[in-house]
Amino acid sequence: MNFKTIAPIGFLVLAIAAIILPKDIFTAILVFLMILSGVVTIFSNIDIFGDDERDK
Amino acid sequence: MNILAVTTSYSFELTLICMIAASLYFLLERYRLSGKYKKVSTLAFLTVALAIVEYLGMRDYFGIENLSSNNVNFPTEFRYLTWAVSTPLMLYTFFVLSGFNVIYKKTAIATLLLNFTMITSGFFSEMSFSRNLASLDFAIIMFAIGFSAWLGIVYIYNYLLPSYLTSIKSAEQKYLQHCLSSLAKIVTFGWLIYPVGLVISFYDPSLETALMRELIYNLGDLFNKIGFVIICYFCAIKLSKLRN
Repeated sequence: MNFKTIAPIGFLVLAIAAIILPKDIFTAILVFLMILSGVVTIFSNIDIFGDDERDK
Repeated sequence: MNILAVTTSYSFELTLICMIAASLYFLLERYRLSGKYKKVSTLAFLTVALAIVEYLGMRDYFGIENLSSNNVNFPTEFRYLTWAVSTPLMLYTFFVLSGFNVIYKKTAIATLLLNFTMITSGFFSEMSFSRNLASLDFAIIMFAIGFSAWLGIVYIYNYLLPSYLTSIKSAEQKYLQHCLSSLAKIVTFGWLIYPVGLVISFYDPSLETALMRELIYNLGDLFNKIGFVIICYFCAIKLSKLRN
């Protein structure tokens, strides 16, 4: 299981943790990781650069 | 007012500019799609463009004046209005992409009805709870109805639609399967943020939790909405190339 596979689950878990846990600097890290998981989830599925390379 | 309140306030701005960028992208890159798939671009554009209107309202509503007051108000009505319009468009986009809106019309209608039930129940649950308009029991019952409807959508996207895909030609099937597996993940895990956020607010109605929930909802909207339609859009590009 690689990072791409677990990114959507990570997105959810990090979001829940950020809401539940006490709000401090650790929450900012959780939100940052959540955004990262969201970006990985989308970009691992749209193949935005690979497609253009194949066309060339 | 603290850093969390300010960050939450700016997260509305962040989501808004991302929605504007996405809507322009769908318009400008429309030429890459063949005639059959241009409708995907239209639905993708509408999903994010309608969200822009509501996010403009929410950004103004959740401004510094609101945050400075003793009783901070949250733009729940605006949020549910956005979802009421954009979620059916999102869900229908895959049906249009795969052509299932014609072949499996009943499934498409069932999906839209489940979505309507989910949004309206969620709205009554959240409104009655946050504004003290009805008892907690009513809010929980409404929540249960909305959650059951969401489970129905999860079933359709995870089990029913993949089974329909087996009847499609092999070359198209590969791209549609890849696209559907990604969409199913968004519907299952991405959308679960909203009911979980609501349940948490039942037990912890503090301002800090509510502010963080709004921040997470904004980020959730950003990735769930744009992510969902952009995955459909890129699948449509691949299918267009296949046809040419």
